[in-house]
Amino acid sequence: MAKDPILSIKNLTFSFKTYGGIVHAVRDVSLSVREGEILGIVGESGCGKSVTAQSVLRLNPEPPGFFESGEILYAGRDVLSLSEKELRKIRGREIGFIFQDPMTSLNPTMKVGAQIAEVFYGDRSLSRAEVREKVLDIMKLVGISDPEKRVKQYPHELSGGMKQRVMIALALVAGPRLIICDEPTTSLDVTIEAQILDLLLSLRERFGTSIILITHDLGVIARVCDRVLVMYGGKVLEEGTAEDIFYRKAHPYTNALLNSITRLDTDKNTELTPIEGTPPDLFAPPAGCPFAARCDYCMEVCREYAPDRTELSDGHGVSCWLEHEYAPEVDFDASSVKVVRKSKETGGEDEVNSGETVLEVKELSRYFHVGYGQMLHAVDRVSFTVSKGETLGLVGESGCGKSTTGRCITKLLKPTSGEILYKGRNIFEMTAEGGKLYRQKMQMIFQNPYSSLNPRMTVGEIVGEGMKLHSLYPQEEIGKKVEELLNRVGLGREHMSRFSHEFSGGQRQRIGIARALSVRPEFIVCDEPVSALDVSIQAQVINMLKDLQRELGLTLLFIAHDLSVVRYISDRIAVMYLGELVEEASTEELFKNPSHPYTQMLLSAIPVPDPERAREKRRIEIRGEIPSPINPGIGCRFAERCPRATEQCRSVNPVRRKIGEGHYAACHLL
Amino acid sequence: MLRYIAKRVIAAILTLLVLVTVVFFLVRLMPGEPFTSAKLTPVVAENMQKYYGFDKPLAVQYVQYLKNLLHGDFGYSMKYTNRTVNDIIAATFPFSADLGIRALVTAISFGLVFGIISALNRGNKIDFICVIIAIIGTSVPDFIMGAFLQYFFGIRWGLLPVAQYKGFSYTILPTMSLAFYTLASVSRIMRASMLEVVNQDYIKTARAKGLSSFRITTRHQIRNAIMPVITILGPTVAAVLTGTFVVESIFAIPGMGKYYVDSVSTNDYSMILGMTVFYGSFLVLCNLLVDILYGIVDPRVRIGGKAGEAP
Repeated sequence: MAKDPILSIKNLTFSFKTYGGIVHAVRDVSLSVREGEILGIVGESGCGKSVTAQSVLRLNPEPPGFFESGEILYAGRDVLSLSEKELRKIRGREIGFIFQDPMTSLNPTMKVGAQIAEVFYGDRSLSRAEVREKVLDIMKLVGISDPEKRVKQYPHELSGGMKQRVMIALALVAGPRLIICDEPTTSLDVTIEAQILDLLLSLRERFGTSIILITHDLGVIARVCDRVLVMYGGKVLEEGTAEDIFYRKAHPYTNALLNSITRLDTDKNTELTPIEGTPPDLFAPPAGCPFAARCDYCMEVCREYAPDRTELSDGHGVSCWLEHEYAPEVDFDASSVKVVRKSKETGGEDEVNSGETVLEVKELSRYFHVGYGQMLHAVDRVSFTVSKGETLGLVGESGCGKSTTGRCITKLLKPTSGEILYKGRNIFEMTAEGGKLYRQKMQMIFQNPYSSLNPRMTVGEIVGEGMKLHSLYPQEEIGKKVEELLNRVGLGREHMSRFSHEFSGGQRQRIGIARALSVRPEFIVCDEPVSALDVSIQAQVINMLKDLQRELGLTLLFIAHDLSVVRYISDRIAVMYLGELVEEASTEELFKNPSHPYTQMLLSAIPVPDPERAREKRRIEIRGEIPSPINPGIGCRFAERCPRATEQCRSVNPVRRKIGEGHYAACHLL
Repeated sequence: MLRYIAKRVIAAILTLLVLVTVVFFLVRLMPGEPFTSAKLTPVVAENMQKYYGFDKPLAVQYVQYLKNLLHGDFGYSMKYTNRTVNDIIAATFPFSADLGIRALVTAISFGLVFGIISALNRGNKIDFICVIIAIIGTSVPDFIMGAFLQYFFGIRWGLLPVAQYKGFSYTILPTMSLAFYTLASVSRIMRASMLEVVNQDYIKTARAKGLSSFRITTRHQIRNAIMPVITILGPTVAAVLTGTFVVESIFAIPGMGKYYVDSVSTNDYSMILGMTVFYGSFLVLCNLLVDILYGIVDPRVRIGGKAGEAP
């Protein structure tokens, strides 16, 4: 690809003036995108990747934001010297933008067709009919079925994946030369993510559109990007082709990032390698390398002086002092030590499964009335058991009923029918006293660490509240117990009097875990406990959960949509689809021998953080999206999307059958 | 939607029934009676009692009242002995309604405009002035505002008449003093709501489309920001209504307010009841309309959603 760059940014520094001081969001960033190229920008939250991308169209609010230095050249024009009017001609027309959250990025009070057509607003060269034509064409192109009907719908009438397609259509309709996608798939399910990424690839192929793809997910990067920029603390630390970054990584941060992710082949008996510490404070960015404080190979010079960029090969550059001629030689692979976890049992997984059953869910159903005699089948006749000390992973796309199941088990919701037995006793027929004890033994860790902690309570009060409620310890000992728990999750005594907003996402989730542990539970339902966290922080939390489980003999129900994480932490996995349990097996069996077509589809959609494998990986065609759970039909619920569905599948709902040792599936084809 | 409306209508009728019942028995608990004026001899008073049916048991009176109510009959006033409550309402309501509607239209339209201007100029002088006006409006009671307006516009500068209601120039001052509070609270809510909406992702999408800031404001920001204002329209109507009592007496307008206030001090039972039921049904109807309107403006029919900051 020797084509000219369509966009180039040189030494861009962009800051925000706030009450607390100046935030140095982007510092000295340079990049270029060539025609038809897909450039990935990867980094954790707050690394400056979105601000960089938005500065291309000057979408950052100015003020408080302002350009300190640098230049942005788009097709030879200096973006920073363009007037607002000239900029408007580029926005939408020549550079399209796709934002992260399709739920909030579309105007709820405007029909989607009108929102797409609005890109042409003020363009007198096109007639109404021509615009309509263009809108319908683009909607068809991005895979929106029945566009004539859809143009008249409001965003709330569309699913998340459909909304993101509308966003893409909106970015594409004017035939831009460059599309900037800011985390386009982060809020979507893996199956939808795979479809959207395929769509982006096909657009590049057809129109030669250049794409800047911003993401924190290395799997996404590996699948679609030609070149990658690794950002951290507002700076570019490494730049190179996807192969350079994944196979010839030169920066310790790139290495650490790659090591911290949970892969499908991560050894379950070793600990994950998180990046200890937290990203730098951009109010007062470190003088030296931004990663120095968390770097395993940090030298004295790293803290004092920022390293210059060293070119390793054509296009592969890294900003690290290790490349200096006086620096020691470092071999990342040799020095990365895998800590082998003390195995929690001697006899392997079978022993766990033969353990005593703690929780038994029998034919659990939970329906919701949605009016007009319609019934939403959130959970439908789900049965499974959990043995003492094991971890059962519950996976499925959003809307499959996994969280509702968790809420029924924790007695936050009353089932419509079915039973939940805890140690042989029905949890909904307990005496007041038994119920209280159950609520103590059964705890929950919530998905969103930002909204699940009471902002008006100190950490000490949050963690101590349950102890007081259940009078577990004498009043004077509670403070000490809270401190012990906080130490256990990696926080300290000094944090007790603080409020939750003073903590980072990872720390808040630790507080949430400490809260759950405070009442000495036996069973914890973890509802997507790490999905709101950055990968390096995810690894910290997962490691901690695993350690705690081993030390305290906890039983876990781990609800998540990230199959790599579920595989790593679970002994057994149950797959849910549209309210029903479609397959259940031990983790190894499920990944080695997935039987239900849905499980197969789900597994094939997982993005693999390895460019060669990601590109050659043969994927099962993913059709459609999860349908509405309101008044589902009589047949197999997956039939509509199943590539192998037969007449029987459409008319008869399959029952769950045993297809192997501890392996169950509900499918006619097995 | 139809089912929703039917539900609300039934709830509205029940609300009214409770209102009638409570007020019917409450007025009887008030100290004094209608016919205790010194001018009346005991015999006359007793005859009056009989004439109005006060000698019958309370329960009978109550049932009779409900029956009359079903025919829309509020009965005879006990003070203006030859006039029915219906007559009085018919004669006075047009004035009150005229004033109320003028005030509401003024308050909502100017309130929205001020709120929008204020939000678009966030942090500068114009915003500052609008915010100050809004604070004054929400904290100064309407009778003081009325007196101020009368003094400056009417007496000091002699621009506008200060009393009665006989043409457009007469309506200006009472409308202003009645509208001011509501205007201020609508503008405050609109400002807050505009500032909330401007940070939404879809505004960023609109900017990324290359739209002008005028188009973004008119098409994307205002339409979404107006929701919380619609939610408070119900209470707003109530605020304007109660405001009319005071404003009417300050500006000597022959509206319902004066009769309502008088009826309480003279223990005119049928008048109190009649006017309360009349106002009550009016308010309930307004709230019902607001709920339906909300469903129409917001396609998600998110009834009872975010309420913004209530006044």
